[in-house]
Amino acid sequence: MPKLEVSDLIARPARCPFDPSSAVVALLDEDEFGRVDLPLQPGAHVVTRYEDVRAVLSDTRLSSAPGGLRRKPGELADELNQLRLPMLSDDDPEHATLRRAVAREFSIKRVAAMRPMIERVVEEALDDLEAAGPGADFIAHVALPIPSLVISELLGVPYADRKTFQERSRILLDLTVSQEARGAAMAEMFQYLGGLVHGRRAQPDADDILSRTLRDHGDTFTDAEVTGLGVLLLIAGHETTANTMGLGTVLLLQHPEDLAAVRDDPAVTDRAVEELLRYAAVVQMPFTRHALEDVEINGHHIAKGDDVTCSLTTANRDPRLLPDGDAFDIHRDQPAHVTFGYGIHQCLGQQLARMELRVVYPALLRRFPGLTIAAPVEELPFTTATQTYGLTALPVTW
Amino acid sequence: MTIHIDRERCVAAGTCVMTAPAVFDQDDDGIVELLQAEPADDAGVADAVARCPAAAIEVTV
Repeated sequence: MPKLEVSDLIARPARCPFDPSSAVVALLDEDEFGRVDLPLQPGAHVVTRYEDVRAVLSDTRLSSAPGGLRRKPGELADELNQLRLPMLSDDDPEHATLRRAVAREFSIKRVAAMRPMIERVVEEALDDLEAAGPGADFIAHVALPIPSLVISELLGVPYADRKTFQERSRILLDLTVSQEARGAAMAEMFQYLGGLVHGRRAQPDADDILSRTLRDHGDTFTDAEVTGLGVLLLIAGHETTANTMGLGTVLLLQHPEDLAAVRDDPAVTDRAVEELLRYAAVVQMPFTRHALEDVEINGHHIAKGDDVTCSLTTANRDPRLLPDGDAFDIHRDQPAHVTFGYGIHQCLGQQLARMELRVVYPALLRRFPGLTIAAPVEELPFTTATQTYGLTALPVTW
Repeated sequence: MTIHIDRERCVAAGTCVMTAPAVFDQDDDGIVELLQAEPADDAGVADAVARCPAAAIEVTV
């Protein structure tokens, strides 16, 4: 059983920053499950094949609940340990209760109605990039602010508070700042959103997610639960979307023959977004699952008590799914990629993420027709030690 | 071809509406609704079945 390092799962080869590591590709080629010592789950199985990843993520005998995980106490900062991510780390029926309460906020129709708001947020971010001048950082001026401003709108964060809100969320999600600083930002975020929820409880008539949740499910959920939900929506949609936006910009600029079509033809834009979601697969490993009983997946045995993680990057390129999965091709018919996961936990905000990406690329290419990356791609600061793959900076000129 | 949906299983990901909008819709709570139980052609239904993360769509021929 091949043994992997954590870096094999999250780092990509320096010369090919979009490709998975050779160690996980070898597992895929040989149809093997690997083993990896994760910080909190030593000896976890590593699953790489498309069909096996879908089988793992949709098997309810493999639990997402932290109660089943062999956590070592004291390994996380207290503040982070206390953040129990509601929904993400629940099995049904707890997961379903919460998911059903907010699912309507992210339906295709609701997201379509958000389009004018998202277009306004995108234009403001592009104004900011333009004002910063050539050489400015696309990540700091565009990719990070957009998801944060969109979730501010959805949660009903008042304009006066947005700067503070954005600053806290940036620190909270920045893996390069200290655990203590992130813990403090987390606590401040809970406190801030807790204040918003408290105010909405008294007067729940505003047109935002917190007010609607309290109006319709206020008897089911406590203020603390609605606050946790707000923080989850912020975290889940933030870094993932920002990283996809940054990586997608690099991929599109590397394929200049496609730019005019992505800019002018909405059908091509939609396909291109789907392809870069598949190809970049920013969530490299989904939350670890824990076997509640013995499970067989494609002839591989997972014993009761074992932990399982997956490589979504390799699954999306499995030759049994796509014969040329290593090629970036915006015109291909998209298979059902697993970038948003699979099973009951599949990303609830996926249609919102798609919409943000569908809006940003045409707007970016129209505003900056001569956009180029101001550094060789292999020298860009790709993240090499985080669960979510992306760029910490992307200098651009025009 | 007859389509059956299981609204209890649905997790409101919206992938069916994305791939087969003539056949599937979401209600006000985001849960799948069937617009056509017996569509004349495939109209993306096979793709919707393959994408549904909750196995909430079943097709009988």
